[in-house]
Amino acid sequence: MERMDRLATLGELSAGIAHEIRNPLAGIKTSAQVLEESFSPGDFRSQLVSRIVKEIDRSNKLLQRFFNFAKPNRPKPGFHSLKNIVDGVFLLLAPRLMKRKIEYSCEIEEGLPNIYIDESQFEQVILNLFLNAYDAMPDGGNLNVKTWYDKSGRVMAEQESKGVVIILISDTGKGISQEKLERIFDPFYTSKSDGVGLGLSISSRLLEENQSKIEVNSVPGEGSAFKIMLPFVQEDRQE
Amino acid sequence: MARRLLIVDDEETLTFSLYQSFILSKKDYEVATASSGEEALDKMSSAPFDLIITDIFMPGISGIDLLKKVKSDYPATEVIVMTAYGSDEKKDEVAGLGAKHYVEKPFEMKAVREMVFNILG
Ligand SMILES: Nc1ncnc2c1ncn2[C@@H]1O[C@H](COP(=O)(O)OP(=O)(O)OP(=O)(O)O)[C@@H](O)[C@H]1O
Ligand SMILES: [Mg+2]
Repeated sequence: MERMDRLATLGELSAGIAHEIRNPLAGIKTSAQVLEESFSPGDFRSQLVSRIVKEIDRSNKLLQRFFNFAKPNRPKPGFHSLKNIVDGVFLLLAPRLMKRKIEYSCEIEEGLPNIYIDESQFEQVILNLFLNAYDAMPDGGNLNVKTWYDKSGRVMAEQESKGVVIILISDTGKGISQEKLERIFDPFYTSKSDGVGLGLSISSRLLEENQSKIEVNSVPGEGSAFKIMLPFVQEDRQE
Repeated sequence: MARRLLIVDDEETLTFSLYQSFILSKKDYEVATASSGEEALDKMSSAPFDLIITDIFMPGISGIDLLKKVKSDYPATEVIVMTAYGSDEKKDEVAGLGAKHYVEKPFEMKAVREMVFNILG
């Protein structure tokens, strides 16, 4: 519960940050875009101004990611095919994975029920995990997704009815040492020179909002496996 | 008669730059700015505007209250709402209150200008 409290204050903090940073960004961006139109496209001044706009968008994207973590939108859950979601994310990254010779496989248990989840939030989680796996395998490797339904499991003790859908995403990348494992879900913890350290914290936050959770297992030098557990919801008892 | 546009925000850089974007757009609009909801209502009462672009979070009367007041007292006036701190809930709330559009800051100037052109012609 303590963590939830901290996150609540983080939500308030982010309202303040939004107001104090996005307002000036909006003023700068609009000014720059008005200015940009006053130069001819080939003018170096126009190029400089378009860089200003680009950098504003970059800062704003980072803020957006932070807000997603600090105060995610209330989930709008529905019944969705897990396969469709995972396939969609894979297609997005397929060219990159192929280029790096990363073999992808996906085993979805026959007859797996639809999952009850906010689709775009869940997509974001899968995307973050895929991107991390990609980063962990600079020289190629295997990315595997495996899902099954455990009809007697529970995500949390207070879960109403029994049943858990499990999604295991594993890679054969560099792995995570024991001491790092304790920090990877912390906001802004990153080991990458170009990382921000929000991927996993956003993911676990979004799953929390969807009554789900994530766990990790890793062996340095062999690979990592992230396990998502979603509470099973019977589709005909819908809404 | 020239169509009348009012831009409301306590952020002066934004009202000024938006104002400029419409002045330079070669449309025959009458454009005015206000730095608070109070000032906006004041200007409305002397001569109503066809369109108001307003921020939500301002000292004094908020953009939401301004939207409500405008929709009840000047039903012909369209409203575009901007905010630096958006959410799906805010978006739905604003739409429910009759706003024509909802934009998150920082926005694309051209996109907002298009919205205005579509409303004012
Ligand atoms: N599949 C993985 N294999 C090895 N290390 C991982 C893996 N996933 C996460 N990590 C470690 O956890 C850290 C935090 O991950 P997280 O996704 O939160 O941030 P990031 O990837 O560094 O940056 P961002 O996602 O914000 O771009 C990573 O920097 C990396 O050290
Ligand atoms: Mg990441």
